[in-house]
Amino acid sequence: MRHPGAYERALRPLLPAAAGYARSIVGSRHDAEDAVQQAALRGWERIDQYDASRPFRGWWFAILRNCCFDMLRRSAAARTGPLGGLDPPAPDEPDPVDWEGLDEALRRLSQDHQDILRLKYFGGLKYDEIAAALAIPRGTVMSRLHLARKALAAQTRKEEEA
Amino acid sequence: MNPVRPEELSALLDGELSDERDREVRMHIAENPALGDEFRLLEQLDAEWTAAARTAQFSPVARVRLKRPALSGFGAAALVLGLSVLRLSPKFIEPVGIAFGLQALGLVILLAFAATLTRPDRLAA
Repeated sequence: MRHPGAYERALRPLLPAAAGYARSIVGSRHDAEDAVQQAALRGWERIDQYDASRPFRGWWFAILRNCCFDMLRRSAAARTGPLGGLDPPAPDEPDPVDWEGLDEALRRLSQDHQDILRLKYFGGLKYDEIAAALAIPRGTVMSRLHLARKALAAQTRKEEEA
Repeated sequence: MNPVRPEELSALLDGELSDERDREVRMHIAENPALGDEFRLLEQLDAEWTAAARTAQFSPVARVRLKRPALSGFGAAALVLGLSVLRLSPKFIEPVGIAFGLQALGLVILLAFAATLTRPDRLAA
């Protein structure tokens, strides 16, 4: 993993899910691509800190997550808007995903629940990988993810009843 | 059979239980309608979000240039070997044909090493 080629081979299969995950946080495809690029570079700069006994995907998604939140903070500082710095998709980017609905559903949950649901669904991470990404025990991943799903289900039910 | 902890329903859904516990929890679900209802609700939610997340995936156009590490052990050895052969073969090797052959080999090693230095390392989906 100390060679760029090895790093690239480990990273390449993660990129489509990483892009979707980043998009779910930063709010536009363009910013998601920037975040993925930053994370790829930052990961390479910190490759000496990677512990090969731990899941690479979890380690790298922790970096990507930080890049996304850094980008959000910079956007929020640079401008104010109804979505706190999030851009709607540009008109020339047809997007089959109902981002408005997904964002709305996630925004009503706690930050912890949003975090774990994004890593699970958009990142496609397994429990061990989520544990590595969030630096929490595997048992906490299991219980937090379950509570997040219950909160999401309750939210959906409430909206259907309204 | 141990009772089912609520979070084990999610873990079952995600395939994160051991084989033995997976079987036990499925038996509990089969015997307990309320547990079954809860599991099916989670399954439905999971199917919706999994489908949405899969649709959200895309290949980023980002291209990243990675910095090469310092000279690797193999590269250093190739450099030393190539230079040594180039420098020493005309002086100590007879006949001249073999010396030229070794010089050519040294040159090939150096060129191969140079190629590894100039090859771009790009990261793209």
